[in-house]
Amino acid sequence: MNLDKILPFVEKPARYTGGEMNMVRKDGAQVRFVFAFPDLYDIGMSHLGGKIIYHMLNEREDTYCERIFAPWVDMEQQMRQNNIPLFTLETQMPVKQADLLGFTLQYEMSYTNILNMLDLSGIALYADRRGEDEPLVFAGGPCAYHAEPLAPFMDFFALGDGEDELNDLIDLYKQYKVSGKSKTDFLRMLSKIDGFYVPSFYEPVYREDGILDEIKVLDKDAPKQAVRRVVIDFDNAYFPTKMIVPFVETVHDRIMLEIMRGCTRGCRFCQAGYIYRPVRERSPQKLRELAMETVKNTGYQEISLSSLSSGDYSCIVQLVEELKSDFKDKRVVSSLPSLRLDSFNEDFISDEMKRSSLTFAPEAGSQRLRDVINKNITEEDLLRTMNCVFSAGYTSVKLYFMLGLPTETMEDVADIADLAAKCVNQYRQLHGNIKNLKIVISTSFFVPKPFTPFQWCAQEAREELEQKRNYLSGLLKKVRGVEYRWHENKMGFIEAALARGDRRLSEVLYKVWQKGARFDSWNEYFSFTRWLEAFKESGLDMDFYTVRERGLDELLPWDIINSGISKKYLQKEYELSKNGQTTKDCRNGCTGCGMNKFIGGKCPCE
Amino acid sequence: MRMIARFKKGKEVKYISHLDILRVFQRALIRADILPAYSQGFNPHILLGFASALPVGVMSCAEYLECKLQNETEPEKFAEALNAVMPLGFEILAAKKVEEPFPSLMAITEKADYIIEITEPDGVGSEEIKTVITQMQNSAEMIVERKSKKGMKQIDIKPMIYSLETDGKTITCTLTASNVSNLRPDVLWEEIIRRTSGQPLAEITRTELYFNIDGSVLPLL
Repeated sequence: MNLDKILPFVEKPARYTGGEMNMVRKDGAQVRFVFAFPDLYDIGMSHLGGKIIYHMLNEREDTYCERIFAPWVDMEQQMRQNNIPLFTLETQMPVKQADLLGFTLQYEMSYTNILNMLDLSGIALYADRRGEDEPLVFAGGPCAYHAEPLAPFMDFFALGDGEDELNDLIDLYKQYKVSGKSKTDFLRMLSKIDGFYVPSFYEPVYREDGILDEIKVLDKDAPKQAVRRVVIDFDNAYFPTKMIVPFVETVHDRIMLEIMRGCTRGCRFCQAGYIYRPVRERSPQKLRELAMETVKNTGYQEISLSSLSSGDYSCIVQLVEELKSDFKDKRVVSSLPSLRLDSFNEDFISDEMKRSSLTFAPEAGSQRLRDVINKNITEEDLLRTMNCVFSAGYTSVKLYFMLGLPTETMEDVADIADLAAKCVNQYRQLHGNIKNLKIVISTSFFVPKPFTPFQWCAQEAREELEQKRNYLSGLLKKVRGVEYRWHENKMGFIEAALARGDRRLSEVLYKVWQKGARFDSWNEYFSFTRWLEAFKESGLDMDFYTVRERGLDELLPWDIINSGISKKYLQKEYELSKNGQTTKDCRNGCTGCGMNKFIGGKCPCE
Repeated sequence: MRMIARFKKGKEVKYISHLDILRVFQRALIRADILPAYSQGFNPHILLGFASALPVGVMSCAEYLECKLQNETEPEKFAEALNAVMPLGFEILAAKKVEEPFPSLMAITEKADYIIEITEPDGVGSEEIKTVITQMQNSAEMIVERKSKKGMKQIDIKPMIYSLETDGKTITCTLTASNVSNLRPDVLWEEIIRRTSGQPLAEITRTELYFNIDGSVLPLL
């Protein structure tokens, strides 16, 4: 493939040429696996999950895992003009020649890129039109739990922690490849393994009013529900210490060291907090070993101690201190993302690494609303942390909030401005003036997500959300030292439709892609009108998916998946939220979500 | 101590940009267990620099870097340690310790040799190439349009060309490569293409870099 003809005409050609440090080169592997991140290289190469899967599968002698990303618009144009199909970075193998093609679903707005990448590969988009010689196409990652809109395009979905189930997949695939059996036979065998959902074995049936009536099980061997996989021994779970180091500067250009998986706080809006349960930690000893190895093999000088809530890791202060001394001479610094306001410690801000700004997420302006969403942060927590951060010399802070949370009133919105003003005062008390202070308030519109207590909620109507945002904007203009950042985009509404969508939305996806949708998570390419048109032409009403409140006994499209969290528990949490009652952090006592039953014993961090 | 090294940027990594290459070496030093020296101040950075930036798409066997090291290191060990951990396509060809005081490489770089090998003629034969090059040798000036911050600019590149020759298939040239005057080989090649009847493709390689040391202009390694 002569890429020299087109690479000089595209931005950052290194996105497509591979050859990075620690890229895997292999010959003669039986199984050709392609891992696809449906966004630009610069974004996808920041994704830890992809690196775990890439290196773990490549440890197997029988498998060669290669990577592809969504080519940028300039590259796509060149490829189409020159009849160059989508190819892997490692060997320039046309993706169509792969045995298994796996997409990671990190966010709903990447779905159109998936269709585009299939098209660019020359692979039939609809699974039932794919030949026996075309790759098996599947998807995993957090959105796989509720990806009915993608169901007609996927042969199967992978649910849960990938470490064990992907190995099971390849073991089964190897048998199938030499057996002469059909794809359907393979899928039938696969559906019996925990962690796999084969959508073609189920048929959703709708009522007159559009609500799901039943999910018919078409194949007698298919399970009633697809069940997620959980890796329990997290300390010994695979970690890629010889991870690939991109040449191109990526969004997160550092080692992501996964210190913990799962979260026990139970914030009611947060899907990750539910689908990644139970909390499992790696031991500090193991983490130090992994850090040493990884720095040695990559040369990175920054380690991000990653998890959903790193301040909650049980020995976080000890770990930060130990890493500081381990890497003193190599000048490798550790940073902590995702810090909660109630577990913030001044030890987390390293002297060596002066970040330009710190980010926190109070999420709601009033205590009442924070209790509704079970955020369990108080104003005192916020101000104490601000005091700590300002005293350490930071003059720039970003605070995230959501607008449109369930039961939210205009007073709650006004309370955001109130909190901002209090933070400004905190700074003024310390420094006497607010000359250098910059507090950035950032808001996004709440999107109800499946497998959370709010999965039944209506998303607030567009006009009301925009009204609230304008109201907040007016209030914040009057607070000196504060900047309000918001994007004029309607992505959140499409995200809301896709997140709780059913299989009929696949038609909308197909149509909007045909109209040219791609890179929908990018402001410059997202077009709300294009989506509205696609909905209209498919004869579907977007409001049915977004602003409609679901009945508590309504059959939901994602009920076919067993996430390990009981639906009754989510309902109970939903009821509690209506009264503003909170639920404790389950490290302090089991709250009965069902996870311990699911894994057949006590949760690891109990 | 300050180490200078000559390195190769091969075909596997020809599309890696100059800024990316800086990071490649920063990380390679850490992997090789070579401790670089850091600058003082609020935002300390590794004291690593290059003689001249190479455009994306151009290969080279004559790139130079200089690096201040915390500890005394033998140049052979330096090269060996780095070569053991560099990504495929990068290779340290030679290394030498520099006696201070010595100016920065960037300040003394003067000119560079390039080879432009035509890989796909697109109907442009060797006679045509010879004619175009002769034309360029004989012209008193050569105005090209370059995009600048303020819009399109007209630059005369003729005085930036020390020599320009061809056998019809390969073009060799020596161009300015200093911080006051730098003619990129791809800019020259674009101008050559413009004067032909087609859209030939070529591979460009920098083959030598020359430094001005007390009036003598020569390669350092």
